[in-house]
Amino acid sequence: MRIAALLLITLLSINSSHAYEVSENFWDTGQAIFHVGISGSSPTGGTWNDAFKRSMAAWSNVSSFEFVAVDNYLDPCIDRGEGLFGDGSTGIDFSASVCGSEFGENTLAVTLSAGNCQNPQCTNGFIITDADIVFNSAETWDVYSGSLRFDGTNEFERVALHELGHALGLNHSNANAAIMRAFMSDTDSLQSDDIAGIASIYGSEGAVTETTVANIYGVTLVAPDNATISGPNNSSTLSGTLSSKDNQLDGKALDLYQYTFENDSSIDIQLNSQTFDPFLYLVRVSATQASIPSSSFADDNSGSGNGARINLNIQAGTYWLGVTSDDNSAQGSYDVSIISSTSNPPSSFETFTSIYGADVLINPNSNIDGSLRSTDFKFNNRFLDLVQIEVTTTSAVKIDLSSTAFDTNLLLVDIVNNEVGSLVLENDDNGSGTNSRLETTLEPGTYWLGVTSYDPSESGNYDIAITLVLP
Amino acid sequence: MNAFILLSAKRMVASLACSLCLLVSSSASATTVLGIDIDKVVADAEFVFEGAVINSETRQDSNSGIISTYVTFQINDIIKGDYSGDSIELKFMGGVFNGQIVQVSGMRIPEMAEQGIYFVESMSRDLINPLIGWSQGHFIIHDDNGTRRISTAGNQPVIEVEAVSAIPRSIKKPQSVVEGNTDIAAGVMTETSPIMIERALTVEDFKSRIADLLIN
Repeated sequence: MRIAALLLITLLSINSSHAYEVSENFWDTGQAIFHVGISGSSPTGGTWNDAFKRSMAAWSNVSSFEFVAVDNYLDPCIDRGEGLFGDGSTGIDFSASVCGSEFGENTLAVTLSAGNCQNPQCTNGFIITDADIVFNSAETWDVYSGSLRFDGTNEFERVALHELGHALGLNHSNANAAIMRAFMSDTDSLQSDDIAGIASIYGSEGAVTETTVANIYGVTLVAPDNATISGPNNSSTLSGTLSSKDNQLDGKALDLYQYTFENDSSIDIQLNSQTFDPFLYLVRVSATQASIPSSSFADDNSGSGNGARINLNIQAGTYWLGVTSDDNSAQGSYDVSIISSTSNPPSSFETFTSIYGADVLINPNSNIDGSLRSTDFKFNNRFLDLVQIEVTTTSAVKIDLSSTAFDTNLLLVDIVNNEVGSLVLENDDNGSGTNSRLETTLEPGTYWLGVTSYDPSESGNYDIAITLVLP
Repeated sequence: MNAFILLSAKRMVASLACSLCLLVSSSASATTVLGIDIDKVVADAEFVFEGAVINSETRQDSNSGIISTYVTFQINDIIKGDYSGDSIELKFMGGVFNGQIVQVSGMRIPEMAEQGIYFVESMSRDLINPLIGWSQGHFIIHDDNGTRRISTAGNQPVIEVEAVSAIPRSIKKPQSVVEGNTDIAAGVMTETSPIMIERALTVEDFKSRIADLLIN
């Protein structure tokens, strides 16, 4: 697996990280009115209506979709106006049958969705106008939280949550922890994967979504929206599924996620799966999207059970988190938790003093924040910061230096045997305004970026952004 | 960008394209159905037959507005039960009618020309889904280069069928709640990918396993 870790540097894609699945059906109004007038109470958990309304509110609270509860009873199967099922008024009920048809021996609840097709065959989904839910009154029900009972009593509220998810247009999730998982479990509330799923249809503030980072040969490079971790204390979770559709690494399915730690951090990453023996990678990625071997980590069984865990201090930077298995062809859902803290930061970036007298910061980050200060090394009456980057693969790069404090000037030189080699590039204003930009193809090697000003003795904050230019 | 990276990227594009093909066939939503054992599927089904869909039509109930799909099967072989006709019509709730749809989440209605083995819960009762355990009583026959093989309703090749009701309940997982459209009865072993159909049981082997369960 260690060897396989090195192969990670060649992978330039990040898979979709979610486990939820959405149908092509949705409410175009962003709202659904449910008539909630079920009579009676559960044996131990309050009224059925309260439990159902809690389920409605749970979905409403995490998305821009709004469930509206109306406190009266509406038969899910009554004649609807013009005789068409699906008039936008939804009913909820316990019944021994569904509009005249029996449930059968093994069916607990049914959601009847109705709507207008997007094409005559309805193969492109439909606009949902109605979604009535009928619970099988022949079954034993109660409302309770936590672990499922083994006495055959079905838990109403989590079934309601699940059915409402379908009513919203969600299909099954493959996540271990999700109310939309196909199998009912001890999970009794919406999980991050459920929230991400509903956000993908209707949008949601604070919901977990994915952001396209780049597109390489048509493969989308994405990161969760909670993937930028700035401290001082952060926690993040994600759920996913290894499947045969994933990219393969050394014969094993692999999911990759990109996280950026903005500060040096102490991190604790745990990967667990109930269906396969998980294996975890954490690889620091340089500005040119190559791994940094000294900052690449892997673990198989340091977590609980056969779970994987990486617990260490890391330097700020961009990291790829790789989820795979210890066994070939293993598939299934998994959960990842990330806890980070900057309260006990590790040592800062390594610097050294060059033979030219200037300090050189070794920083492979693609984005570098810095500042020209009066205490900096001075060259030709201008302050100078030097940053060393390593290029492991021939790469076309675009390097932007920007500042609102001074007119920037950007240098790029190659370093051979600790001395400046033959390549010397310089730019003043190819960027926007007085900002600088260099575009070039770099062969493998060591390079210094020089940040200085066009005019003498200028100082202030600056940003460097290094972008890999794709063919 | 070296050649290895380029090769990997192209391979990933091909993989992605393949993934998209698979996604096209993914199903819609699901309902809440109890997971059952294949033993129970066999024991509780009133009628089990091998057949082919020869007609499918939707009708709308004038009172409730409910749309149902009536599927006619040609009966090729009877595995359990008595039936004298050459064909049988089964009603599945849901369907498309005049540009409108009623969808019973999780309902997988057999499609025209589909061949399969169907476990009918009851011949006399009006059920939402006439197949016992929904997808758990629904198996599809595929032609694998001239050999007819069995997959689940979710197109997972069936590689073995074993009785599991004899397993003590204390060591079985608790009663599961599965989804109607893709899930599989306990005791039905499958490959995860449809492309592994060559490993699936032949129709005759599958029927032999079912016959064994009927005897035991």
